[in-house]
Amino acid sequence: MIQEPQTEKNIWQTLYAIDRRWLYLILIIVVSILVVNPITVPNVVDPAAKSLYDYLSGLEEGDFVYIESDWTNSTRGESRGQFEALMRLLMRKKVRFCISTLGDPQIPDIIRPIINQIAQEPGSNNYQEGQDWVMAGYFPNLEAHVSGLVNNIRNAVKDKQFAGKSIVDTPVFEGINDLSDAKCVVVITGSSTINLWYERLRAKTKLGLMCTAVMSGENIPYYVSRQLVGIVIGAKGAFDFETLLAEEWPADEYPDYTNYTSGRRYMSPLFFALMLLILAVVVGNIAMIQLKKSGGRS
Amino acid sequence: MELFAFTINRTPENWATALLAAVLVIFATSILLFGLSRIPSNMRRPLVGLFVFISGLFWILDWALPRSRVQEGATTSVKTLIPIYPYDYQEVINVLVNVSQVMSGIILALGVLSILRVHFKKVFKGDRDAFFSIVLLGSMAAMIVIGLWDWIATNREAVGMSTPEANETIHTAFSIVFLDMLQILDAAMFSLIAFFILSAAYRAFRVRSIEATIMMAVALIVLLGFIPLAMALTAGLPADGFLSNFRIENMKTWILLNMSTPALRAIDLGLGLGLLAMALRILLGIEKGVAVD
Repeated sequence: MIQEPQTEKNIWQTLYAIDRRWLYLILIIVVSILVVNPITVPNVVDPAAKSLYDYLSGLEEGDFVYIESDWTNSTRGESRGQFEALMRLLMRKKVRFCISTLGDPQIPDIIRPIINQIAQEPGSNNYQEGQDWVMAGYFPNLEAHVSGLVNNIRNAVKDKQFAGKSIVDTPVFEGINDLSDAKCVVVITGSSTINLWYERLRAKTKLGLMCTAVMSGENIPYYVSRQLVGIVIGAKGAFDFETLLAEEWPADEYPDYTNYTSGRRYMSPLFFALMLLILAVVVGNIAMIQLKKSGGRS
Repeated sequence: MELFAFTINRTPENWATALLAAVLVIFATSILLFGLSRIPSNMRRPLVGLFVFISGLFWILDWALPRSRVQEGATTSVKTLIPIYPYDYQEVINVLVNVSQVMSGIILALGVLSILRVHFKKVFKGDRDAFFSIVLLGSMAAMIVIGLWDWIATNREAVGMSTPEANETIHTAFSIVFLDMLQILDAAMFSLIAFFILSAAYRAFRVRSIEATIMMAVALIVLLGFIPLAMALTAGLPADGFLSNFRIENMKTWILLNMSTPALRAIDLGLGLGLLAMALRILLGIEKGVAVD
């Protein structure tokens, strides 16, 4: 058996082809440290996120908003922070809301504890299900549900109940006979369910979107064309919403209020993970260029 | 039926009516399916095509017909009134919406049945992976039973028929299987993507050509534009004037609005035209391999 001569790898050859397990190890260390000990990072609020915040913040007490929550644990890192910030804003403004979901049957059970927890916070006006908000639950047919809501919102959700009565008979639906009576439809999604609203929403109701970062590219054209009143993108968007909450309800005036949660907490791990990604790309390229120069790339 | 007494109008009389209606629907559907199975094969294609066309036409009319707000006493509603049809067209659509939801529910149930069939088969045949099938079936059964039980308990509490204290065991069980197990496992599985993204970016983002270099530079600017601390690097530049163009967030916004958005619009337009053509082909029964074959 012929033994190949062992050649010592130089630094550039090593950096050109780092074993992926080292990358995984570095990533898990960086993220774990920052999840346990998050660092507060400064923020510059995105105008698109501010646009949605400003519109919702301008709503009056008793106004009605329809929420389509289509996220699960697959996008929890981004969507949960967005959802929490939205709930805090609506509850503080005493805006009534109805939530339904098209994405996954487990979503109502994921979001209900979050809503109930936020409702107990100072400033949330002790929001009660059936009185201030209702859960319309899961609808298996996406097209039919959105068409049904646009055609006749009461008929579309009338079979859903709270405490033995239809949710349309609760105070939440008082004065809501048509989707145009809602001030806004907000879609929080980790998939493309927003497309149905672009296609079907005919009423003058405003449409807002909270989506994952990977979906931002395909949805920004609708914000530019003003079909969307605003768009909140990824974990950064959640952080933006929390920053705006903190500006409206500053800690020195409202010390009991919770403004920052998942959005800010996930920001520093995300930031360092992205920096690690950029660093890995830069290092890989420098190594490649150096190897090309020395002719040592094999 | 006492167990479901919290639901709307679910009196014994209504349960009996609902049961009778269900039997009648099953009977009528069976006759319809039997009749359809007896149709000569050369008639099946045009018949299915006709069904597809009529079904599609309902939604096209819903989209195309003008609607107006109608004042009825104290309430205002939006109606689609057709001169030759004395009713509001939306009532037709409301029925269709409900039918569609029920059909989607049936499809969901079919999915569950399919899983049961596949995995029971594996278990009874003593397949090599039968253990995993047993785990899947056991988990599924546990989740269905506990979930349904918790749902009933919660609803009974909401109408004062029970108390949270009395249902503590089932609430705890639900919390363990759903919140503490399923949700955590779900999130953990998806978090693996981060490792693959890092590894793939490291290997794929190499400046081997001019095009790859441009793509990488643009991607890095957009990426940095989403990182608050990266924005702080150029925060010293003025907010207005020529130099403001070099702030990371402005460069990111410019790229997204002036490069990405037009490209996506062009793709969307092409996609939309293609979908329209495809929809017409399906509606008119021209498309082969879809619905009518």
